[in-house]
Amino acid sequence: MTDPLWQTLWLTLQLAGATTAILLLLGTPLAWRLARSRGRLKPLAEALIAMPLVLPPSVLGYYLLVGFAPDSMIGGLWQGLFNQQLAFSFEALVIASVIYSAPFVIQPLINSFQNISPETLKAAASLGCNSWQRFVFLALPMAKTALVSAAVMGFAHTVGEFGVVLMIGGNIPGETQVMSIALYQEVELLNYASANHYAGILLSFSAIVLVAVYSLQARARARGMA
Amino acid sequence: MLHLQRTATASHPAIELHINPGFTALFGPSGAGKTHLLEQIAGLRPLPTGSTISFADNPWQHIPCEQRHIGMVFQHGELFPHLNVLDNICFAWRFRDKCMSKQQLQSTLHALGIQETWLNASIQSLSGGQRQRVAIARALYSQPQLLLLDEAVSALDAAARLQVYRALVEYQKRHQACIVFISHIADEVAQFADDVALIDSNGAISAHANIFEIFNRLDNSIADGQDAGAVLRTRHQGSVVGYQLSTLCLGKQQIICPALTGHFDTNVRIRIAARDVSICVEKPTQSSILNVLQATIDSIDPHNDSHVMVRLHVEEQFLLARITHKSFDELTLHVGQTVFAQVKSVALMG
Repeated sequence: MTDPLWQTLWLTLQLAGATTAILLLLGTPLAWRLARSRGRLKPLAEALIAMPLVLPPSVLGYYLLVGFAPDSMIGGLWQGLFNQQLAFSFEALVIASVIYSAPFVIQPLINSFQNISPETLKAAASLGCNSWQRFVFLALPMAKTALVSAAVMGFAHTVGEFGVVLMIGGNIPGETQVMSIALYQEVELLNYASANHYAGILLSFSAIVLVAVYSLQARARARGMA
Repeated sequence: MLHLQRTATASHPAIELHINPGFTALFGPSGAGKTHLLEQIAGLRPLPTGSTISFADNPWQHIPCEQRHIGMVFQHGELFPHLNVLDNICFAWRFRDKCMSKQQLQSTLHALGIQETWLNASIQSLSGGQRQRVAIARALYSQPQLLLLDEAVSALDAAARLQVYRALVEYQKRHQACIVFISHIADEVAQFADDVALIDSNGAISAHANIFEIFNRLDNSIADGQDAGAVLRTRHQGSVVGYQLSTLCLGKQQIICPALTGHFDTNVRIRIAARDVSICVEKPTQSSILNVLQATIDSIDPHNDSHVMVRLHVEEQFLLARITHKSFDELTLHVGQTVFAQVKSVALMG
């Protein structure tokens, strides 16, 4: 095992952690809003969130690359605010990952929130609970299982992301070089022994995560709360 | 105390409702919009424009449900699955400032028949009837002055229903509360209600009066249906020694009924189904039927092709009798005639 491997692994975990945290923070209230909404904009919002599921990652990566360029609006604004370039930075990877992993976090949360019956929420309202309190004291605890599996899936999906990072990351060790990119690079260099390490870690990680998510859901179903 | 004036919409007719402290039943067929109306009172559904609603002189049109300080019990309990029984019951403590003290809660739980062993149990382990009791306790916990019950005791058997009812009567008296409940079971209404708003199949209120008047009239949908039967006020007089029977007094006359457990000289509400009453023009002797009441014919309604509904005046109250056209013709009954009503069965309403 080499130092670059640890550096890459640490960066990957940081990226996945930041992405998951941001997605939970922004995605949960958004999912709650969408689950309860019957407005005309709802299908549009849902389609936007689900877009990364069907879009080739390179397409998303391409548009982000263009958007993050210093002469673009977002890239220029970022440069003005933080005095550093957005493209090829860790921050750019976080923003891209948030977009790319959003459906894996938000969609299960919407489904879970939709399973809460309107009657249950009415009962809470009749007990003096306003809509914000209904979110905090009912929706969140009732969607506990979904929150955990959404977080795990969001994290795992970010770890496994390749195409978008390849387009906008630039493969800078310690800054934007994540596991999947490092693996690709090692293979390009015909460095199979090292590639084996990267691939093995990613494979084991994915297996563990999926087993964890499915056991969690099985346990929740057994308790009748899925 | 509660005043509602609802304007008509395409799907629901206009309604005017004035509800006093006590038990008011919204009684009508399924699908008549009773739940819809109850949810509008609760503030869970918007009222059509131009409608007004007020409670204890406070206008409520623009007050959301959570600020109305009501209690509502839904048909299926709607308990929160992630909380245990006690946390469900005490859910309102964070949001309301008039919640019960520990002692008050204990006596309420006792009155509702909620056992201490349930309190730490999960909701999933409760039966339908247990859930309904817990849901009622949860609604009472914040001591609302307006309690809305949507078929809240439908999963309880008769004995449990009576227990819950007594707890609610106690609560109503202590808080001078308005309790509005939905039911489509005549026995339940006859047992619980002080007033009845009769809702027709279109959702309009076809009659609104006290329980005795509503059940004793010939011109409403109750008299037309299978549930026709009078509700009467009696007093518990004593027991029949040697038999499992009690006596009730109805004015100067006496009614024998299955043994009562309560104290003597208390009010007992009874219901006598119209199909259980037959009419004799002379006092029957040597009959197996114990209850024979002297009455005068108050009014007669040609009920349908086969039956006639006769309203009898007994000791300042009324009794309904459903008899065949053939019997009616053979006995040549007429208004003002003195007759004897044979009562086959008496239902005690508690």
